[in-house]
Order: sequence, then structure tokens, then C-alpha cells
Amino acid sequence: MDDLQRAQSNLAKALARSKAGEDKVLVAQVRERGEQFANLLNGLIRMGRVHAPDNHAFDQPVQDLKRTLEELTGLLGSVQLVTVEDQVYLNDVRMKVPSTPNHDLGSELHRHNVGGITFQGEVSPPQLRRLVALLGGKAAPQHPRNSLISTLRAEDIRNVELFGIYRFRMSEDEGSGDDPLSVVKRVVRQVEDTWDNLASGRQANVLALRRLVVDLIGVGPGNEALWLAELPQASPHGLHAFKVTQLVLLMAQSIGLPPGLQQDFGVAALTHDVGYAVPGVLPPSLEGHPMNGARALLRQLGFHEAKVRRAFGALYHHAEVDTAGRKTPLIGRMLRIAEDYENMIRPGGGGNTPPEALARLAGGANRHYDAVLVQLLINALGQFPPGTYLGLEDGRIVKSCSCVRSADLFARPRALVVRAADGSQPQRRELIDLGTEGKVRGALKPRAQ
Amino acid sequence: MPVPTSSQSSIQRALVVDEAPAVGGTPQGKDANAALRALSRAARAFSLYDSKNVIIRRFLQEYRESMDAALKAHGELTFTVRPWELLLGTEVVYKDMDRERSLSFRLFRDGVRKLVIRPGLGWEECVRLLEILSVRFSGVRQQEDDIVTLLRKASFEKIGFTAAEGFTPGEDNPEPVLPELDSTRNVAASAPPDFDLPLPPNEPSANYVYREVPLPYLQGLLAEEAPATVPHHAVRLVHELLMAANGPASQLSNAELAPLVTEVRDYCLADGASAALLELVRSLRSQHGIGIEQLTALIDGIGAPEPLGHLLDCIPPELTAAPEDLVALLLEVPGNHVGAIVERLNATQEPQLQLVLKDLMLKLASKNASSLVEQLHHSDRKSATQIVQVLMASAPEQAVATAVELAQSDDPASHLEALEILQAAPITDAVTNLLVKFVASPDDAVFARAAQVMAVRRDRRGFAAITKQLEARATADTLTRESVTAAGEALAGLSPSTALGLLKQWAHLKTGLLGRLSPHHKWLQMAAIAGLALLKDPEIDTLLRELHGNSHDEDVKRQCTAAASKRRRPPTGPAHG
Repeated sequence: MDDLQRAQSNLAKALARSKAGEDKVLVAQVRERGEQFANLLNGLIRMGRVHAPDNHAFDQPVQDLKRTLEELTGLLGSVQLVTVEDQVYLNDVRMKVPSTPNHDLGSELHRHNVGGITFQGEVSPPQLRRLVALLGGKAAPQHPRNSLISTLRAEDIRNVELFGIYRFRMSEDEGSGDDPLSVVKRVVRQVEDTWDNLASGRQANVLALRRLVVDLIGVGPGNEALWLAELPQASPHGLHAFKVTQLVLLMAQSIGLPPGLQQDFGVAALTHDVGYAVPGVLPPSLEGHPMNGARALLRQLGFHEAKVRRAFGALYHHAEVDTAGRKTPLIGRMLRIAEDYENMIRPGGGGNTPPEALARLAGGANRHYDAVLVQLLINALGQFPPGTYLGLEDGRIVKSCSCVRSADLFARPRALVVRAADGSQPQRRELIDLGTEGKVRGALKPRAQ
Repeated sequence: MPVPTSSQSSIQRALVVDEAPAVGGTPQGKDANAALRALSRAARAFSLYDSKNVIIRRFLQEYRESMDAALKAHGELTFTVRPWELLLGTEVVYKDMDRERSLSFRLFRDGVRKLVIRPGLGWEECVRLLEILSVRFSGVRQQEDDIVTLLRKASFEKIGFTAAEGFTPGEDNPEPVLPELDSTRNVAASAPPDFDLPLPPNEPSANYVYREVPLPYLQGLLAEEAPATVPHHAVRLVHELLMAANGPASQLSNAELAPLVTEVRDYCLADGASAALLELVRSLRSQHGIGIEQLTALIDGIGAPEPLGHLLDCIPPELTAAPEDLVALLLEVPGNHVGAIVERLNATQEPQLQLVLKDLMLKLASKNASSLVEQLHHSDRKSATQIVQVLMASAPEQAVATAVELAQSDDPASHLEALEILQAAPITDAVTNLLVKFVASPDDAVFARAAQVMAVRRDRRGFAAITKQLEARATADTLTRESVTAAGEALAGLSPSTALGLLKQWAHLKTGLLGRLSPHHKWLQMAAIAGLALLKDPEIDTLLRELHGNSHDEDVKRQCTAAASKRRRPPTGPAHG
């Protein structure tokens, strides 16, 4: 078999495998209804310039818009319509809509400094009619979007959210990145959406989760800004999922897993606890949630290896190293470690400091935890893992915020000063490198923090 | 270096659909255009043609040559991606306004804004890029991946890209965030306050230090997730869920698992993963809960001709024996496996694959010879020969018993199947008796085939039986040109020296008053001519010429011509006489 034959055969196989992963029905429905929705909305906005808002000409199209929106929310949960440059996306799926300069949906919305609309649930025909009238009307001279938002709030149209104008963020953009804090926020929010969707019998938007994991890998799971991020408004489950994912990605990168697998494992980590969100034979509980989660994740039709990994993640994240005489799948063993570590240190959890949690993992290695993975996590987090409060010999108290930068600096992370030597709160944010200054007297227990 | 111009190729002519127009004015632009059009064609080919179609090979070749030539001639190629165009610098080097066909549209739609292809691009990376585009052209997997996530996964060395990685605020006049916005979000689902608690029992803590993890341990972890493990992981998932569904405190039903079982089955089939399929089948067969029959019905389909054909296609070319997993799998699932294998055997020209397929039949027959016998009923002569060879090699006694059974039938078709088996059967009295019985068959085709089989087997008792039958049938006028030819040749083959005298005697039978042969004489003369054609004797050529010249019977003349022609050809069988 020559190169070409081999390529032909491998490509045919790859396509056959991909085809086994299709859920044609769902994709087709989202596209069809989404395009219909975008076109109806655009048409109604433009009609608003010709007819008075109470004209009967609006009746049927508004009813159609309402029905289409109901169908979409039935499929997707919240419906997010975003116009970026000359394109329209509905929940991240690009829609085929006519693009006529100055007459497309994007242009209509941009007049109000609006780039996207999220529909959180049911919107009544009068509310839709009002929304259309507002969007078709004159834009306020100052802060037009905020003006529209205020009007919607004043009229109690609460299920509609308006967003600013977007442009595509390019991978080569200056500082491409992502602001780490924004990544955390988006991840937490997407996890919350995923829970809501699954709880309502809908499916998870895994492509959106995957893109966020790509972003997280891009900023680096060990990025110190991620450890310092504080999100008082985040849900406990959203934050927990994010932190577990961070730890899983740290281990995945230490192993040297290829990017695709890192993505798969990241998404599996984000969804590992969804069993708490969905009804099952057993109520949401420690015992019942693994199976409930696997069932919910498997509702997504079409084969994909990532789906298997997600199901494993849900099933095995509380499993021992071996399950029924076989080694627990890798993602399960990684999640078990990340999950227990995070639960030991999270607020309302085990009340351990990060070093205590790591010591417990080390103590349970081989019995409960995969010893190699525990060592990889130790090597990544260090003697004083991020989040550890440390007393320095000079009297200062600092909070560690970096992963291990080299073997030499295993016990000397970078840290945020939280108390000055005289016991006062620092006036400004001060990060120090324990590799070059300060000597650690010891880790502090939570009650001393 | 000039790039092969695809517009002149036969591939171009063979294309059923239109393609993007040729653009590009500079030499660099023209070469880049040729490479991109070749890439686009190859990427679309899998959704237009059968994956084994020879034209796809040509597309691949053209893609390889044109990309290679463009990179060698012009170095790094950096394309700016627009919805309908690709630009090299400011020059449009690809343009296609057809949304379904356009390479640029596919790239743009998924967020790719710049594509860089660097010199030194290997064939492996070329194929990976093609795979990503082909998958997206087929419009599949849209809920899991897009081109950008696929490109990221591929970790190319010589292919770079810039992608829209998401949306970012792009306002000319940013507006302040209204304070009440965050409070409008309603989170419906939440975890119980004590989620994941209580923690597992407190293990004694242990000191920890930095310790380098040796490479073999890391390789071990990587191996757990190697691509070849995917089907096994998938089957394991099914197994674990089946155990849960059929266990004492079931949290799910077998019926719920039907979509997953179907998907995993199809994926394993697509991957040719017979070992994983075997695990799947055994896992399902080991369960006995309510509704399990519906799940086992799903895997029974594996043995149907199309899926089985695909599994056979996936047999690695380097193998010389049938994979044990595939044999075991086929023994577990119902279906006409032999038929599919024989069909593939007849179709393939690859000697190694032929070996594997015969070995596969042999191994199947050693466990279940009746499947081969069953297939005999539906096979043409060529296929039947293949089957009988395998049957005789694997279960000779059962084969003969089957022939005996078939002989009991009144159906001549069954007798012909029996003769296929007997041709390769060991020489025993029982077999010879059966053959003699078939020589006496009232059916002319059975008589002819039986005579041939006796000749092939050099079964000397056949000479008398065939002679007797020939004479009786000649008298009854129940022969055909085919059967007398077969019988005459059989006599010559069975005993050349005895046959020579007898056949000469039949050849000299006199004509009647009107110069016509009686039917009896005519058939015997024609048998004689056919047999003499195979014998070595100096008089035969002359004899044939005289018979041709003197005979008034057109059939006899044609038989003489055919015999003379046969004698002029170099001998293919053993020499007689």
C-alpha cells in the first residue's frame, strides 16, 4: 500500500468515524430555526419604520417570532444571538442570513450600540412587539444601549439582555489574550448555563465549553492571575468546576497529553458534577450524581471520543484507583485527585489548607489515588500550593499564588502580601517572589487567616 | 518549477461538478491557486464520491504535487482568508462564491483568518489538513468541533493559522456597565450546599517533596489514551452502564442505552475495531435484564454484508492470517459471513488479502462448517470453488456427508453443489459410488459435470460408467453438444490408451443412406472428436480433417473445427496417450 492509498484509506476512516458522531437532527434544527429567527427579527425591525407598533401587520410575524423563539429555547435553553462584523451567530452557530449593507441585522442593532441579545426564556408577543419597536426606533444620542436596557427594565421586560458590539478576537491580536479573570468568569458562567440546560432536559453546549477550555489552556492553567481571581458572585458549583478543571489541566500538561486530549479532559472536568443538576432515580446526592451525570451527558447524540471521556469523568470522579478489577480510566483518576483536593480546601469543604490537602493526597496515594498523578500534581503545585497563607520570618503574611516554576523553587512560590510586617493591610497590591526575598516561617492554618 | 495544470488533467474532465475558477496573475499566484484548488477538490471529494473511488487517489496525488511545487517554487505561503476569497499579499489566489463549495468560506465560517503553509510541509501534515477540511466539508461533528479546535488539536509544525478565537468588545464608544445587569441573571440549577461531602475517610498524611516522574510512567499514562484505545474505552463505557442497568439497584434501563450502543457499534465498525466489537458483543450477551434483546439485536447487524464488508476492508494490509478477534466476532454474530468473504475474495487482486480471507473462511469453517455449506447453495461456480477448497481443508468428513445429503435431493442444482464438494473429496469407495450415481443422473448437466469430476479425480471406475451412459443417452437422444464434449474429454482423461481405440471406433461410425448419421452415431462421433482432441496419436489430425471433409452434419463439422483448434493450442493439462 503506497502513501496515497494509505492516505485515502485513512481519510475514509476518519470521515466514517466522524459520521458516527453526527446528531444531524439537532444541528439542522438549530440552523433552520435560528436563521428563521434572525430573519424574522430583522424583518420586524424594518417593518417598524413603515407601520405603527399597533398595526395588525405585525400580528402574524410576531407570533411566528414567538413560536420560533420557544422552539429554540426548547432546544438550547437561553438563546444568544450575536452579530459580529457582518455575521450572525446563534449560540455560537453561524447562521446563513442575507448580508445587505446597512440593512442586515447587525447594522440595525449597531445603531443602538448593541451587538447581541440574549433571550433567557419566554417573551410574550407584546414584549416582543415592544422590543422590535425599540430596536427599530431612533437611537438615543448618548449611551444608546444603556438607554434601551433601562427602558426594557422599566417596562419589566426581564428575559431580554442586550450586549455591546463585538469584533472577532484574533489569535494574533496584541496580548491575545484573554484576560485571565474574564476567562474564569466566562467559564463559570458557561458551567452554570450547562447545569441549567441539563436540568431543563436540554443538552450541554459542548462546543462553547471546548472553546473556553481552549482559552483556559491559552492563558495557562497555572497562570497566577487565575489563583488570585475572586468571584464573590459566582455559584459554588461553577467555581468548583473551574478549579477542578484547572487542576486536571495542570496534570494533563505535566503528562504531556496532546492538545486535543487536554481539551477533552478540560471539558470533562467542567461537566464532572452535572449529575447534581439533573433528576435521576436517586436524588441529587453524593451517591447518585455520578450516574445521573453520565446519563445526562450521554443524551447528546452522536459518537465522539470526548463524549466517552465526559461520561467517564462523571461516572468515575469519586472512584478508587481500580474499579471492578480494572484500572479506573485516566480522566476518572485525575478527577478523583482534583475533586478531593478542591473539596478539602474549598469554603464549606474539608477545612484543610492547601499543604494539608496535598499531604492527604500523598497519604492516600496508591490506595485511593494514582500515585504518579499525585506526584505530578505535587510537582506542579509545590510545597505551598497557590492559596496557601504563609507566615514570613519578617512578620509579613502572604498568600502563595504561583505554581512551581522550577525544581529549585519548589518551596518558594510567588505570593501576594496580605499583611504587612506591622500587621497592617497593605495599601496597594504587592506581589513578591519568595525565590528572591522573604523566608517562610511556616504555613498558616485557616483560623489564623 | 511549473505546477501541473489541473485544468488540463483528466481529473478535471471527470469532475461532475463545477469548481472554483482559476485566478492569480503572477507565477506565485497561479501556483498557489493550483494548490488551493487541488486542496479544495480533494477535501470535497469524499462527500462526492465513494471513498474507494479511484478518482480520489488522483485528487490526492494532484494535491500533493501542486502543494509541493508551489512551496518549492515560492517558499512560505501566507493566505489571508476572506469569506469568498483567499489572498496572497494583495493578490486574489482563490475565489469561489459558491457557499457549499468554497474552501475560503469554510475556513472563514469557522473563524480562520490567516493560513500559513511553510516549506518542508510533509505528506503527513498535508493529509491531516485535508482530513480537517474534509470533515468540515461533510458537515459533521458540528456540535463538538470546528476547524479552529481541530487545527489546534493537530499541532501542526509547518502549518500555522490565525483564528477568530471568540468575540471581544469592539465598540467605538464603550458604554458603562449598568449596575443592575449582573443581578438579572437567574441561575436555575445549583448543587446542594453539602455537595461532594462528606469527604472520604481521613488518610494519614504523608510528607511530599518534588520528585521527577520517570519517563516510562508518563509514557504509560499517554498510552492509556492512545488513539487505538478509543473503541475499547467506548465499549468499556457501554459495559459499565450495562452492569449498572442490569444490576440490583439499577439507575437506568437497557432501553436508554440503545443510542449509545448504536453509536459505539458504528464507530467501532468505521474504525475496523473488531476486538472492541467482540468485547461489545460479549458484554451484551452476558446480560439478562429486561429489554436486553433489543440491544443484542443492534449488534447482530454487525454480520450483515455491508458492515462485514467494511470490517474486511479494514484488515491491515500487512497481515497474512485472519485476525483472531475478527474470527471470534464472526462466530458470535449471525449473518452470511462466508458470502461476504467470498465476494471480497473474488473482488480483490491483492494476493496477501486473498490469503487472509481464505484463512478467515478456514477458521470460520473449523468452528462452523455448516455456514460454508449453506453458502454453497447461493454461490456461482467461481465462489463455490473457493468455498469447497476451504471446506475440504477444514472439515472433509462433514463436506462428504453434506454431499451425500445433497445427493438425496431430487433437485439437479443440489447435485451440482454436491459435485463441487466431491471434486475435492478424498478418493474412497463411497465417493466413487456417489459419482457413478451422478453419472447416471437423468439431468444432462449433472451427467456432464459428474464426468468432468471423475476425470479430474482420475477415478478409473468412471470410464465404464461414462461409456455406458454415453451409449444409452446417445440411443435415447438426450445429449447436448456440451455434455458429449465433457464426456468424451473425460474418457480421454481417465484412460487415454483405452479411450483411443474406443473413440476411433466411434469416430468411424458410418453414415446412413442419405449421408446422415443416426442420432446415436452422431452423439458418439461428437464425443469421440472431443476426446481425441486431447490424445496424442499421429493419426488423429488426419482423422479429424477427413471427418470434417466427409461429414454432412454441421454439428460434427463444428466439433471437428473446435477439436483441431484445441490441438493447436499448447497443452494446459496433463498429456494423454
